[in-house]
Amino acid sequence: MNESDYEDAVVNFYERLYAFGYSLTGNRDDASELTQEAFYRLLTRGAMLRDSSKIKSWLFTTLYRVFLSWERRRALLPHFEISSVENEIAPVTQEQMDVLLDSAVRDSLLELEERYRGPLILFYLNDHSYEEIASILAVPIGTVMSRLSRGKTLLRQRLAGRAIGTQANSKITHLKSQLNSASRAI
Amino acid sequence: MTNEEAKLILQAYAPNGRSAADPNFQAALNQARCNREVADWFANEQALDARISDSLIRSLKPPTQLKSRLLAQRAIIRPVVRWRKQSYQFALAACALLVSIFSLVWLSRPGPVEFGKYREEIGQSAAEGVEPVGEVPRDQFQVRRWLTDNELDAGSMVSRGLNDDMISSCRVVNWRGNKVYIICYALENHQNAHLVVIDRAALKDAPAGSPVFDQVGKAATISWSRGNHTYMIASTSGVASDLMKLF
Repeated sequence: MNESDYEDAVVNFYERLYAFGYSLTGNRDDASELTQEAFYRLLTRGAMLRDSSKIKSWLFTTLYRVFLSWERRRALLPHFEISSVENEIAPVTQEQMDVLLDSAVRDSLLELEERYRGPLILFYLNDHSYEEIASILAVPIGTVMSRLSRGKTLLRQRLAGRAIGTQANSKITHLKSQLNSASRAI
Repeated sequence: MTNEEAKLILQAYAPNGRSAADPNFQAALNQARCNREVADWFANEQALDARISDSLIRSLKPPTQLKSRLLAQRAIIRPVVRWRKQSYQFALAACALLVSIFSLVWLSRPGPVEFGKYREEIGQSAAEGVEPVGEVPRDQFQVRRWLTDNELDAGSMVSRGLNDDMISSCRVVNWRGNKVYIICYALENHQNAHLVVIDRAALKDAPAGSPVFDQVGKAATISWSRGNHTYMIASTSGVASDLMKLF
């Protein structure tokens, strides 16, 4: 690991690492800190990496481990998580996707439990095979497959819910404007 | 493979075609090619995944200053270069080796030997002759210089019976890691006596100032200590009591 390797790693991977960190923590500051910590460890411990082609996997694995260590620390303090009730909304359609903003997609992902968020974001970043995802998250391949499947279903239900809400809001706005126009006409 | 199994596998198929070469997907892809239901489901799945992926990548853009912060980090923390790490390991190994050698030398350092053993081994050997270490003085001049060089004042070591003029030879021998100085005196009647000097600290139970007489095999010995040295006169030409005449 020389300085040029490090620079290449930053240029090639920092955006995806940040996205992975964001999907895990749900906020920008923690995502930035996780990304910085991963690259800090690359600088200080990267000499152990004999194969430079493994840098990407190493960074993602490192970031995830740092995140887990944060979580373990947080677990020392009692906290209560209100689990969302799974609804029976049908998964999102392509038409519904048209009305959703990017931020709505991100927020829907962040609503999921961490065990689904990790595999989903690594899958949607398009950089990792499911075998690599299994290696990064240190879970069996079968677990990745089932979490991806379940996670996708849950994500699409939430997206559908948001799409319905967005469509309803837009209809209400439309009706309100029609009502205002009618009122003015009267 | 059932349709449901094919769908479960194809859910992990990357929307950007990255998984196309992965042999684990081939059977499920074949199922999608042969089965209209699976094919339609897969096309819809891929389209949705591509849109979700694009949305997520756009919405999870890092802050603009993060890249420069990461690159600046490199300037603050110098990467650990492999050779530097190795040289650090070599240095540690060298230190460990030095400590080991030092310990070995320290532990194998000759400790004090019982005086009885010294008298038994050296008393007999001195009288019979042992292999010297280094040059042996050949004449009186060399003898005196040898005594001076080795800080041995023969005149003060023995009070009577033996004097410098009687010295026939001098030598240094190595005994159990200690230097032993042997000075040979030519006595009357072609007899010899040997004055043996050793560092007092090299012996356990070295005799004090008063002389100790003993017969060791054929050799008669008389031993005493003065200052930092222990002295012994050994001779095969008589019994211990005869040595008293020399002391």
